[in-house]
Amino acid sequence: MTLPFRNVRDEVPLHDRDFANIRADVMRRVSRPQRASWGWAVAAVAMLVAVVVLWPRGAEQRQPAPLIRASRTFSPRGGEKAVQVTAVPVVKVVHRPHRKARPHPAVVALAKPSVIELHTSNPDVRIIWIAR
Amino acid sequence: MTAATAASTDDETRDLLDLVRAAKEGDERAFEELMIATERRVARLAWRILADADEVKDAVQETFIRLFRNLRRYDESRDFFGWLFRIAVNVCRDRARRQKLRRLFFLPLAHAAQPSFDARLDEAIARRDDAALLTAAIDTLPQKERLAIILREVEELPTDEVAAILGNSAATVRVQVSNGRAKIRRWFEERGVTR
Repeated sequence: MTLPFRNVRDEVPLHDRDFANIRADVMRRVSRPQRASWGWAVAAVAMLVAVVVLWPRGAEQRQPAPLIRASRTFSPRGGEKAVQVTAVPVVKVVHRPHRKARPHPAVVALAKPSVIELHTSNPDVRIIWIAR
Repeated sequence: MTAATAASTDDETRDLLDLVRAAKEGDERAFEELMIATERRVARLAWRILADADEVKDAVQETFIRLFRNLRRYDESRDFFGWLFRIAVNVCRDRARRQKLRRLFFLPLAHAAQPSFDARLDEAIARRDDAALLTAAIDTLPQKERLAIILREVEELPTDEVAAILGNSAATVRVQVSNGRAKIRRWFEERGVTR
């Protein structure tokens, strides 16, 4: 008995429309990763640019604001002299990680109490005002 | 095989190989044409394994997606259909396993939705529809023999290729095909169908 295996070949349960739908789905799914990879590349470049632009500069590059120190002096005869304003030279502050931070000498100097000494007409009497 | 059909088959193989090469280079149009050239054979194979049109659609789609992703690995010295069928068989086996589980839970619904196997068989015998009868006979075979018969006899792949697809030796495939044929003949004889 000859078995007609070739006849079974004609049997396909799908129609042309089904095959067209399958092809469309496959093409959509295989094309998507390529677009996605482009998208990822663009996003990665954008991220890199943002990081470069927004990266915090080194502390040594930033100029600290000048410190201004005002002092008033009073004459023994009373009356106030002109206020002297002096700018303290700009100090570069360098942050070194993993080191115990020590206050800068300028900061230490600022932290010292201010002393205001008032001279009265009596040379034996002076008013000393100490303020932090 | 006549000289004319042999020449035509050679031309088809060359065309297919050209499409495969172009698709490997990223030509999407070539990949689509490759699908058009091969989709019916893949669907037929999936239909023989899964016997469910919706499952076949999904299996064909998944097969071509896997084909696209693995196309660079295709060795041109091998038969393209053999390689494609290996992907398709793996996809169908996975789906058949899941289908089996689903049927375990939804068996009554599946039976209600389609006419019974016996009813279809009676109809095929009455019509003396050879293809339908043979299909029914193939469907009664155990899975390994069924696949061996489909790939070797229906799709006419070389025994070595079938062995590679099924992960068996060529000798095992020959035995499976021989047993399958014997069972199909017996099946026909039991139903009084002679040809």
